[in-house]
Amino acid sequence: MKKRGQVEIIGLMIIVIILSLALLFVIKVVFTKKNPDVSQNYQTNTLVEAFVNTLFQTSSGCTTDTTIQDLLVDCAKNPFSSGTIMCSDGRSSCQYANETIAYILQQTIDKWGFQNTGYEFVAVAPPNQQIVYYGSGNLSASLAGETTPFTLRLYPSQQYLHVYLCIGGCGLT
Amino acid sequence: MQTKIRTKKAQKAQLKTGETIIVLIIFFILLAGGMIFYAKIQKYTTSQKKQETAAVDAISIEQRIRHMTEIPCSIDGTIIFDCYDLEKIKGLQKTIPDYMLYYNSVIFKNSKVTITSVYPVAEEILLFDAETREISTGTQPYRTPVTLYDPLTNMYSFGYITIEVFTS
Amino acid sequence: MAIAKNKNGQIDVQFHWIFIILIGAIILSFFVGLSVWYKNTQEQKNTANIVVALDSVLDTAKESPKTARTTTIPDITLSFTCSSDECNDYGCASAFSGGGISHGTETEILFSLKELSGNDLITWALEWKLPYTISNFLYVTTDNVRYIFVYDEEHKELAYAVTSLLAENDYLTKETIKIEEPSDFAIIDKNDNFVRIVAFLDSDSLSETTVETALGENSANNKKWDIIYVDGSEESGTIYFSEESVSVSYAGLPLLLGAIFSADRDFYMCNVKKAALQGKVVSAVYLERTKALYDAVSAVPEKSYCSYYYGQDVQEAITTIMENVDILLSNSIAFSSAVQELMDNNNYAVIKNCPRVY
Repeated sequence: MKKRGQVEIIGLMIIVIILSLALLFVIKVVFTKKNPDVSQNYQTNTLVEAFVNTLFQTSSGCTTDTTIQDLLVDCAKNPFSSGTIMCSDGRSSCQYANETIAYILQQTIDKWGFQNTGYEFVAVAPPNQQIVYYGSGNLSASLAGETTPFTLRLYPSQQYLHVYLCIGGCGLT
Repeated sequence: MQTKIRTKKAQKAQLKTGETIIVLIIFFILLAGGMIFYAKIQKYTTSQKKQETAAVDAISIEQRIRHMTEIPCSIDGTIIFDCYDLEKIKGLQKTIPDYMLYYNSVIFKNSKVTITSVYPVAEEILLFDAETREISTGTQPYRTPVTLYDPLTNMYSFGYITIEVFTS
Repeated sequence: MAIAKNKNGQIDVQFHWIFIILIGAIILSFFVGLSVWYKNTQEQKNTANIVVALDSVLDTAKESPKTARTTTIPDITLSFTCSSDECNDYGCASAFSGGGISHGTETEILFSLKELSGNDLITWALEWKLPYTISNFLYVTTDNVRYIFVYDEEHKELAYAVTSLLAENDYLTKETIKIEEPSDFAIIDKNDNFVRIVAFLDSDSLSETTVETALGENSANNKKWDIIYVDGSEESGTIYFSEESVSVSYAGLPLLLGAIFSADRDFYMCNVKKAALQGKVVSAVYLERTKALYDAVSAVPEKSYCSYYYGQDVQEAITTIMENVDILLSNSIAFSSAVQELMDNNNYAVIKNCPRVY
């Protein structure tokens, strides 16, 4: 009888051990599961798109009727001569665009917590000329973010200006 | 002899019954433990879901603002998306108190909505403030860049809408 | 003694088996009940997902005016309700539901029949302007509903205007028939869920017997067809719901189309009230904007000539629209002059390089 009792207690112990292992497994699965943050992805993607589209439509202040898009296009068409548009304060379109975009980025994306994540704003004109660059944060440690560019056609040519806003770095060399 | 056998059998039966009772007790203790543990996990995941819902709420409010017909830029009645007329925004600011029930229940709900102009003109307009509850902890304000048009100067400014969702 | 024990054992065995069968039945019924409960819960969950998805579909459709869309819907009947007697400061009691799950549409202007079923849900939207955009009207139907437009020579202009507009929606099941006399009207049964006959003719001129013979009799539970009569112009007119023997007015094609897609008079009037509430809100914003523009340009000598376009006349026109939009159907003439005032001043403001009125 003693032996039977001992065997039964061992049986109970096995049940307890199995249940404990199952509980530990559940803890591991629930607490360490990484939920894909759908709203965060949506926010980042819409932020990038809305930012660039809004930027293009913004009145530059360079002259009364030029937008930032106009300055970027002018600078892209004439990257080596800093553009043909002369602003009312004497600055060239390239210089004005660079400084204005940097200011806007500092007042918005920098202040919205992306400084730590790292991001880059790059405008690349043909032939592979970076006409505007602004980067912030620790880019080397970040994964390359969204790198699909926004394109502006440089009429009348068939060439395009590529504008990138990459949260986490563009990975462009 | 028979009494002895009966006594032995009774003892054995008692032992068996005791054993069964102990097994049942242990089973119910484990069950109770499991249920308490499950409840704790549910509490944790519910608080996470609450934060996620607040973020989704902010996106919903932003979508509703986007589709409002009161404030977008328009050319002869045709609406331009993602552009907001500053004078209409200021007009809406004055109109909201007269239609508070509508805007509170349908459009803005438990939120604080601010429209900020960054460049070339810097300006901030508080469009709506539910004013009552504490801001949801752990949820970042939701911001989306928008173009702000000033009909008086015919200028388009770079601006953004900030939506902060309150949770009780 | 041994025989008694044997008999005990035999009886004991039977009870033992009865006991097993009973417990087995209880356990089995427990698990069967559990699976039935789970199935019902999952079905409800799916229906809720469908209703949520449909809400998204309707929102998207509403924001794309003049773009017809179809959405494949599962085999459930969608119900739409809208009560014109239960309206408050911001909306009217209305909802759409499927499979017992409902979603409120208190402020959404949505014209449809009370029940829709079919393979494809057809959505279409039009802007409603006075002359600034007040809202987008959403029209919802399915491929199982047939619309027959009948007109005669006298009413052809309005019929053309409506059918040309509807021609942009390829998904609708529709026919256009021109007749010389109402007695010429004939119809074939194509096994539709519902047939709406829109008659640009004199009221009650079509023979209901002809329609009944072709499509079958209407019953309380199974309404297969109805006829509405339209009379007027693109700007305003009346719609007569023959089944209810009531007339309603419309002002503009978007509202006329609303009546064509609406289940009945009450459904139409409910959405008209919602539209009117929207009209008040939007007009209030435009009024404040106009006042602000007037004050701003008046203060700048170089721009003071623009103040004419935001002055008293324009502000009064907006106020007229704001205060009378809920009775616009009965006062469409006052509306037309207010709308014209705004359009004229807006055009002049553009010419003079002043900010637009709207």
